[in-house]
Amino acid sequence: MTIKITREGKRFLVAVFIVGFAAFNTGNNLMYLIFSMMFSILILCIIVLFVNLSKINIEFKVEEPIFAFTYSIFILKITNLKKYFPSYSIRFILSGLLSEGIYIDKLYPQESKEIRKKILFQKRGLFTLKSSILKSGFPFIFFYLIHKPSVSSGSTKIVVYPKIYDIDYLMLKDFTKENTGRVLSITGEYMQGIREYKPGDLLKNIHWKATAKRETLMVKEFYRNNPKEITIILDNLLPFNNEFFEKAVSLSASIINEYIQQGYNIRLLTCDKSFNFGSGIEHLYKMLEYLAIVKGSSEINCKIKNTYKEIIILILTNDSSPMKKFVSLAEKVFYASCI
Amino acid sequence: MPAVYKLITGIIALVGNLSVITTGELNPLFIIISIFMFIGYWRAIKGQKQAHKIVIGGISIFVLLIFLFDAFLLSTDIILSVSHLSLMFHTLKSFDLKDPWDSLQVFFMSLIQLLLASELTRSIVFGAVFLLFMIAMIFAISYSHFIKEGITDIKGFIRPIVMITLIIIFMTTITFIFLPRLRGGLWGKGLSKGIKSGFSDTVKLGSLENIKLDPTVVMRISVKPHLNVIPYWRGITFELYSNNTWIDIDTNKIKKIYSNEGNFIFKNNYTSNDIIKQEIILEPIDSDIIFALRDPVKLIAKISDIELTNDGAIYVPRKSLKRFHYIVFSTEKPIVVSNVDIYLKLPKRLKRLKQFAKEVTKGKIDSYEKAKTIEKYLRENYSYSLKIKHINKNIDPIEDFLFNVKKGYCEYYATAMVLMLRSIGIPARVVSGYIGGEYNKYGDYYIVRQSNAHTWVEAAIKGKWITFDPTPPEQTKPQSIPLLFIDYIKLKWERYVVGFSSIDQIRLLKFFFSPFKKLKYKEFKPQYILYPLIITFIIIISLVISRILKFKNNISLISKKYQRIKKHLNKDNSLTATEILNNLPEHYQYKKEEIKEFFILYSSLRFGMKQNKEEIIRYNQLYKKLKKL
Repeated sequence: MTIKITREGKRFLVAVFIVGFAAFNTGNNLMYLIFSMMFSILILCIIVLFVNLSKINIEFKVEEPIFAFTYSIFILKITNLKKYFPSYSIRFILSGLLSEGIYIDKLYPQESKEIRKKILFQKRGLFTLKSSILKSGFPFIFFYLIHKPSVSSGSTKIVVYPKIYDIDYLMLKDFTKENTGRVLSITGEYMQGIREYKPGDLLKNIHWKATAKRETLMVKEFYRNNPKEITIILDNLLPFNNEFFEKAVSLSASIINEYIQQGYNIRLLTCDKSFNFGSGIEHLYKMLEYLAIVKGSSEINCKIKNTYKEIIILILTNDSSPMKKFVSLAEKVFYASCI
Repeated sequence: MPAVYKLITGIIALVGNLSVITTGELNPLFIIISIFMFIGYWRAIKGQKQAHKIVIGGISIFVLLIFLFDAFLLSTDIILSVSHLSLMFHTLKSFDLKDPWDSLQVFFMSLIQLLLASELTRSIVFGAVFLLFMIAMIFAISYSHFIKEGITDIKGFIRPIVMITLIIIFMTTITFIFLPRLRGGLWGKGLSKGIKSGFSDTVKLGSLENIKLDPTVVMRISVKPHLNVIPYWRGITFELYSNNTWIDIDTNKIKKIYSNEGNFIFKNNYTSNDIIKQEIILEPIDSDIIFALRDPVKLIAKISDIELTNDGAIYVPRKSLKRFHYIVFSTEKPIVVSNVDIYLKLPKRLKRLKQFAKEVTKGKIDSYEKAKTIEKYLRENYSYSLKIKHINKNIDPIEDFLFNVKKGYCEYYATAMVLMLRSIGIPARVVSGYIGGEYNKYGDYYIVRQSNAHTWVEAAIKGKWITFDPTPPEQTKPQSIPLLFIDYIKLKWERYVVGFSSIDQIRLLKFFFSPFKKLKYKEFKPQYILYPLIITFIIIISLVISRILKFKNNISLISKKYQRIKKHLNKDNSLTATEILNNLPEHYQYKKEEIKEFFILYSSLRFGMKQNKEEIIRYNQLYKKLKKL
């Protein structure tokens, strides 16, 4: 615990010293009385400061998933472990994240409070929430005490994914339609035709309109199409403009998120990392986790080629990127500098 | 700034002003200026626009000039001029309350005012103002804290603030009692002007008239054992009467006595049964004489030396500007006559008085009988009055009193009796001091006022000075019970706050240790109850503290062990226990379960409400095992 003196506290200390000197010098008991009051205020102030912040346990976390530039919920659980003494006016500060802090007005003995606060991460990446402090000046304005509590929460490391934004305006919906114009269901099944009912057919597949027309049970017949595969190539070849690179990363994350939601098989390729095709939330977060920490690469270590089975979306940082040579492979090319 | 905070600031400014105004020393003009403060605070609380910086700056310069004028020309006293300045400051500041820092300036100025007041007064009103100030100040500095935190509604914090206020009042009392009393004397002075007492080496007849009308308290005296007669607090004796004036010529025969650790021994030949102890708090008076019952034998006072005259008058080195607290022991026995010649001198023109004295004492042989007869005659044939109108200004005022006016007050009666006694050959003198006083049964002490100033007679009979009082009793109205009670509180304030000294601290310590010296079953002492209570309290506090410390030590030790093992397993200090377990190197995998158990136990011991002994033992066992890894 560290005790700090405020501007008012410095003046008060000087006043205590002067009054004390005057009292001892003159022997005037009324001055002794004033000095006793000031001295008592000073002593009690320090005692209360320490008691107030002692035995305070904190646990905190950020509700996941966390995306940059998107409000997340910070949850603080603060407990007063003291048996008899309440605590008042405590501020919880997490440097870099909650610089203004969370204010806790009072905590009764052995009381726990859970406080939720919206927070905004200004960049993607891996963050360690370790420099948290509890600060209190209660009961007066002369001092404040800073306490670095031991944190009993689980992980203090958090991953902030790149910002995901709405990509409707990029006209990417074109990929979600078959050439025939039939709508691709999320499960990837298409209706082929209608046939007569056979035992074992699912009742939900009965085509009621046709059944009524033919006066016999008719069922819908389906066939499963191989889901579409999309390769996202992110240009992380150095050198690049940081701002454009961040835009490119965000765009990659947004596109991946969009197509994973639609059931596509997605893979991500960068200069130094290659993911296999995959779908589902788990696969999405694997790629997002990588995108959260992706950095520039000085050379292309991955093999980038067209398998002719997939759609390739190339995301370049700018028009002059050396990775522009892959434009011919791609069905869509985005320049982050133009977004 | 919230309106409530401005209101609290205004209250503190008002209390500060009250502290200096109630001393009664300030110039009324400045008090009138301070009234404008109410308008300032009213505007501030209503949220009206505050005065412009330039206006405040301009008035500040003007105020500074007034201060200089006041300090060097008007009051010519630094304490008074700073007090006046503080009143002007508060008025000015009330129109310039823009941020919390302005309020803090007001708090500090009020504190300065309280200090100034402590130099200007010793009154109990200061005590009341001080208490008010303390409460308002604690609320204000607490509120300032919340304002700083952005909290304006402090309803939920009233309870802790009240608790803190009460604790501070208690701590202030304790600190006040136990602070060592030192006196450097580099600076500081009292401003008390002193009460006009009329006690000097020469006293003109009639000078007591105004003093007898003054109800100001001069002394508060507690006497042990209780007196069954009206006490005469002797001050000075007069030997020579000339031109309507009494002169003390005995002051030459002075014996100087030096302090022996505050004790002054006048006589050694007395027994403790004869002693009457008088503890006296004497207000600052314009005289260097102090008062006591007849025949003082011992004095306890915080002075370097005293002067004792042959007639038993005690002089201190200088007039006290502050209240003077002393304890004097007297026997009340008649003082032995040493030289009688001087006490027989009479003015030449008092022929009718001589004849009158002979007529009154006709047929009486014994000196004592004669003196008693004169005393009785004067008491029964003359009336008491403070309004004297001399009828024949060509004769001595005493003869005019005896034969024409036939009414008067103590000075006339005493002078008449002394002169009558001397005229018939009995040595006599006038003694000046105070008579009786109002007995306050609530505090078991006498309140002696200026109106109790008195002169009486001592006649040398059979080698001893015998007291006579020829003045008929004065009709006095006793004080009401509430006033007596207030006076009792005043006495306690003066005795135990204003007059609290290192001697009292020693007495207090002796009080606490006295049962160990004399342990008598029959004698009850309050300490017999007090001690068990204090011991119980100390035991409880020690237990609580030791428990807290023990708990703290345990926690600290448990954490240290945890940190050590954690560091041992993985050097990255930022990793949590779960992360360490998940990334446990291959060569530690075989101990994974034990490591996991160690971490779980740590969480339980560190953050659990209670510490289980078995858990601690297991934790320590695991620690010993794991540190060897």
